[in-house]
Amino acid sequence: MRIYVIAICLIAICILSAGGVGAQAPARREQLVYSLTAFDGASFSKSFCPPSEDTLYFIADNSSVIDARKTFIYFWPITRRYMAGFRSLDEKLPGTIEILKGGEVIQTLQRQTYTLFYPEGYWSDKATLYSDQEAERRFAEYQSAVEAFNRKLRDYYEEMRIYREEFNRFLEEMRIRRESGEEGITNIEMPQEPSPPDFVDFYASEPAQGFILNLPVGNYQIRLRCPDGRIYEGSEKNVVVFESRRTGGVGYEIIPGNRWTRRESVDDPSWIIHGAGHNVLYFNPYHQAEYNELYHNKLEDPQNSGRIERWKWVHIDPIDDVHMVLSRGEEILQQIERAPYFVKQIPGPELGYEIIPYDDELLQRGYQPTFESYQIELSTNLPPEEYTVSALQDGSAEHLPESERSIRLLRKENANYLYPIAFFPLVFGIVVILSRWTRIDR
Amino acid sequence: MRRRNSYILLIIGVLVGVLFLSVYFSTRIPYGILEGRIVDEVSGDVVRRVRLSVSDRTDILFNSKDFRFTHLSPGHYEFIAEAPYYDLVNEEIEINRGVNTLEISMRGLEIPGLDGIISFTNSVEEGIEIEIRFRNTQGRGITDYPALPLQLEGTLYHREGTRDDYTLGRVLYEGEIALFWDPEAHLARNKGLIPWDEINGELVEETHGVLELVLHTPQGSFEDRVENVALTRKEE
Repeated sequence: MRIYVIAICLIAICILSAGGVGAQAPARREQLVYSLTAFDGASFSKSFCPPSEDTLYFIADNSSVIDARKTFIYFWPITRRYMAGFRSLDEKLPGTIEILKGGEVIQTLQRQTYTLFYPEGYWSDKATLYSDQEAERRFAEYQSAVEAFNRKLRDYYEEMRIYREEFNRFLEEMRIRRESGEEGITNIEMPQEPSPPDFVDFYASEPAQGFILNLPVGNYQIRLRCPDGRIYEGSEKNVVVFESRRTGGVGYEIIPGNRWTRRESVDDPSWIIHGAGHNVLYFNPYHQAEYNELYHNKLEDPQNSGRIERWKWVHIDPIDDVHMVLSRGEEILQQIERAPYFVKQIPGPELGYEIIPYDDELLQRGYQPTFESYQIELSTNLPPEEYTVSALQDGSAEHLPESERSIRLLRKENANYLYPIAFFPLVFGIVVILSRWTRIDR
Repeated sequence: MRRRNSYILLIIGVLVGVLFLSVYFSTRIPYGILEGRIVDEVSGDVVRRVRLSVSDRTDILFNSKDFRFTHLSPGHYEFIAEAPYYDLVNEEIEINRGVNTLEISMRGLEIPGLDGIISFTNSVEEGIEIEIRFRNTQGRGITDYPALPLQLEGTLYHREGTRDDYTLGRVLYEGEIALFWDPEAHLARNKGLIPWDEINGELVEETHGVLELVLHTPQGSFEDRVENVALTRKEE
């Protein structure tokens, strides 16, 4: 018996001592990191690559930006990620980036000025990277537009001040006329309220400096060379440049009406949307491309995990020149147009919200739409059958390829009957045991 | 039974041996690692923007003391450390397989553009704390400078009158003031302290003093006067 105790103790000591080495959290340390502005198929993902990650991932034939800088790195055990203290230290390292393939330098990159240009506004899903003089020009264009907006806003405030004065005079005149006994329609012209100016509908980030990478598919290495010819310690990384496996088809982002901040994706035509009770769903169709899950996750953040044998759909471009159709079999139940919506917070202790159509009244009050989408209402009056939603090009009767999705409405009222069925194997087992037990000859 | 126990012990011994051997060979480093600390000789603080070079590798430390170079082939190297306003360090080092350590102290050369000092005092629990800030010819505060061997002398008088209209009263302290380095400070990393128990005579609450200072530096001596020294002990 004693021998087993000794053996177990020895093995436990070995395992514990080995585990202790691996579990040591590193302290805050000044280290070289690559900051990344990587093209992700539609827009740009911002992240950084800590020293613990030895590979960077980029999409082929598209520009992405990297930069080498020194910052404090520390391990955050709660999220099990390395964090960067850019507020404490953020120093760019001077030099050039060398790209190597098969051990030979194939490109040397200098820092360039770049800007991210969002043609549909900062919150849109689409962005383009411009460099050098074009970057300066785009940013100047944005600045001019903002200045023009500010001028229009000042004019609007002045017009509103004049409008209020005129409106007060109008009301005073009306009061005097009514008090003097005048009745019926008056011939005083009612002042017209001025409209606020539209905000700039595009955005350009402030020009910054970085190394712009644009490579074909392949495996590479990069390193940062100091102006004196030496290589910076910790600057060597592997680079994997990949492309999508396939493109085409339509993916949907669905905003559930009862929890609008928790958006969901239905990207594959085989996926089924299940609805129970009354549901309001807001559909946003996208063109999509399929990427390797590991590569794309690591592109978004090198500390992300993923599986190399799995693939994921990525929404690359919103589709807004279509209308959607809700149908049952061959019967078209509803045609839905894209419309703006506004999420109105409900005041008081309920802390809820309501999604309402965006209208002129909200515009006059200076509100912007919260989102634009195709609203599909699945009412409780619909028979619990299978429905289909699909996207049709405006002015065409043809469905967009791979745009159909099935919706199944579930009946909740008889759901309680499912519980006894779940217990059936247990009951059956008890019956078998009891019957055998009674047959045992004691 | 005894033979069976012997077999079990033998198997466990072999397993443990294999485990230790595999750990030894898997963690054995086939190259040299150079790691160490580089500090200011006088203060022991970080040397800002120090550039380190060994072989064809380089690194810049902006705000830390620890450095590390890996994948160095065993052999002799020249280790260079250069930083603004510091003496160049150039050392021959030998790198062996595994971890090699190196401790470096860098000697400050000058405080760049030093043209004078501006002093402030602060009443703290231990005494009167004196902040020494360096200014350049444009009158601006100097932020990046090495620690130099400095000497501070001062005379603290009781102030008779207001800040704008006063005469010097009795001498409360006269002589050298101990200096210390505050690595957290931005402008005034050199600080002095006059302990309460070294101040002559009884102090009356809500009274003020006048402190005349002379700072001796390798770049010359600089004078300053603080006319509103709070003579009230600050309880913490």
